[in-house]
Amino acid sequence: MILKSHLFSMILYAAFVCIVLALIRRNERKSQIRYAAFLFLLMVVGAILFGWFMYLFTL
Amino acid sequence: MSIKPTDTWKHLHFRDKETVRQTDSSARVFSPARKIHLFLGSLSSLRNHARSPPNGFLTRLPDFRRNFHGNKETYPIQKPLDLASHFFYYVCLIQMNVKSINCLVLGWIIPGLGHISLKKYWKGIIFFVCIYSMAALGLIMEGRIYSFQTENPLTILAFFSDIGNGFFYILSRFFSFGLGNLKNTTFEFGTAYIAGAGLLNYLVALDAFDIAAGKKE
Repeated sequence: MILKSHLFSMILYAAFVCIVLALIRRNERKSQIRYAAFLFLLMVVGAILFGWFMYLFTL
Repeated sequence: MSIKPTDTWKHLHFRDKETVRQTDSSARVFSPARKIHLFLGSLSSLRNHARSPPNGFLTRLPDFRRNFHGNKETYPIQKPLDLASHFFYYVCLIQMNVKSINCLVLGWIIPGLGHISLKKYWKGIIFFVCIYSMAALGLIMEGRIYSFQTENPLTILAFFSDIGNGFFYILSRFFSFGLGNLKNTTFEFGTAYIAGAGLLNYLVALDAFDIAAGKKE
């Protein structure tokens, strides 16, 4: 089941949020794409890094 | 001619004795030319208000103590045309706010409908697809749609984010879906999807409101 993967769910969630926020915050097509890509990377990479940071507490 | 520059005499600088005498008396009789001047001023303000209606929800209120030159008048402006122009101004204000509030409510009930009513079809469709996809995925993951309850204060926040889904939330109350399944591993993510969809819909509805009110292009 794809939806049972937390990583995939998080990536899908980030994608939806990025699309909506980019359409709200930016007007031009090019800047929308750039802003959406930036937000997406920020959310996904940030979540992965934070996940590894929390992993330190389990050691 | 000796005029003391006190507060009550400020407006009488550079005027002749006749004007001083007229203004000093409580009758406030204006010459025909002055009346025409004031009348034109009223027309000008009326026309300006008609041409440039307020462009936001909280716009500047009209200054009743300014004439059409933008200078402060010292006599009370209570002319019918001035009142009419201000009435027209407020009618414009109310009309624009009614339109923007309509967009806000439409955008809240169905995601993207506010934008579609503003003829931004593609944006509206994308918002609808994204937000309802998130809500549907949340339901597939067996997330929970919270109703208002005070037993656990944190669920009040979840309730407020869930009602952002508008019609979807109302349907969930009538057909009792979105009860959630705690045993499922995807329960937390499903709940987050539904709450996130609601919060995004708030932003989308507010965006439609801003566009309708002229605060945003």
